Amino acid sequence: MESQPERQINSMGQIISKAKHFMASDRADMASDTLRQGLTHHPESAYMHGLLAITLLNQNLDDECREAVAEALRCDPNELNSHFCLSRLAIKEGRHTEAEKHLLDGLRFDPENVVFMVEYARLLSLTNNDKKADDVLARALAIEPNHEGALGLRSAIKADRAHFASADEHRTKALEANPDSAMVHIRVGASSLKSGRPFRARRHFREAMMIDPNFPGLEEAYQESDRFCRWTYLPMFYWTLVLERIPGRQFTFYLAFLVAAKGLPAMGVPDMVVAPILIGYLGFCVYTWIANPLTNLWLKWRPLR
Amino acid sequence: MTDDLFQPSLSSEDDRHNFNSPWNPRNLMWVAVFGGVLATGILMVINDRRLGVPNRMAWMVPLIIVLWVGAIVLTFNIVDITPGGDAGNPALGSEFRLINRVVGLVMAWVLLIPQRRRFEIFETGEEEPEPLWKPALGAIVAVSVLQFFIFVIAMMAQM
Repeated sequence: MESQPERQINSMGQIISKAKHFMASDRADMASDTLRQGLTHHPESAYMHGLLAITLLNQNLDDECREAVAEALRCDPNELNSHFCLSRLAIKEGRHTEAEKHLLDGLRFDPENVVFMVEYARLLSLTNNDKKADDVLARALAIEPNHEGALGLRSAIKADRAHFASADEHRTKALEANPDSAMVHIRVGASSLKSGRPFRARRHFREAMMIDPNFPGLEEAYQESDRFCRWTYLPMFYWTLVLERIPGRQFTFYLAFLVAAKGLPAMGVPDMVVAPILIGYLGFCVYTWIANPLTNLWLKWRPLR
Repeated sequence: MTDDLFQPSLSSEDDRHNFNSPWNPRNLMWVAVFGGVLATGILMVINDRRLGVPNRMAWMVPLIIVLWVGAIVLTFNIVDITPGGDAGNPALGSEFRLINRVVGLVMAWVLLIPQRRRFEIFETGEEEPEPLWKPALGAIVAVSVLQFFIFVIAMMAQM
């Protein structure tokens, strides 16, 4: 959220730069302390109130964040960080229409703000409006072609929409632009899974762990991707991907099985042809039921390294 | 900003509210497999309210009843239930189960579309859906008993 022009006097600039330094080092608590101290000298600085709101949001101090937002908006109703915080709080509480309003307000004040565009695309994707999310991200990337968040999210959306070549292209661009970002490797890993590339996903999750071993949920993602790569689970992984693209999922196959079981003999197809089809279907059903326990057993024998 | 791309596109249906312990609509497809049209229909109508789907009972309930009656009538047309016909052999139950499942699955797949969309919004939160197996089992058993009596009465009427 650094696109808002800073027009503060020098000492305020020093406070802000110190707070941003703490924020960049994941020390949101130190950043909020610095900003609170600064606000005792500059109580009318909307930007500092807004920045404080961001740091409080990052610490999950929602009520205090709301207070800081109220102060920021009192000083300047167009303060961007406050609208960003309000949208995040609304998303957290499931008020998606309200979140959309705050993000669009932010974009009205600053139409070229890529951070707001990416956040808006994230909200649209969350509410299953992937087509519009994709268009918003295309606009964001036209302004800032190497934006890490926009490239990662667009890659995931493209993979969701089965545009695998485009997903791959965005993954590559994201990695080229930010090879040392754990977040990029995580997004690329997630997108690779959706595109049916579990081995590549596992590699990126591993690299993300090497960059930032404490990233929340990363170890679980790595374990999950490793599970998909085991030979006992690999057919199930691809089968699940196929099913996700078919209306009715496994029930469509069940209907096809019913029709085949009744229809083929009635059409005069010999039993020696019908029987292997039906036995094959039943065998595959049995595999889908035991794939999970079988993989658990395999993981006990060959655990994750 | 007058850009169409940045015009509001979300409605109150996209908000994570009005949920009341919903069941996962994907699991209702299993009820269609084991219980057929009526059992799935009853649970779908209840789940509509739990998911806060806009009221569509006015046309959904008659449609479910028509499809269920249609499945029974179709079975009676395929299987001979007159004395000396197929009624005594397992063909009646088998044919009815097949028709009931196929119609139930197709109906569930179409009518569950709004529920799936709402459930995806529900999944953005941290709450867990309500387990379905007890109500599903209850609905399947109750509807099976009802269908058994309908078939018995229909066969007795033919004698």
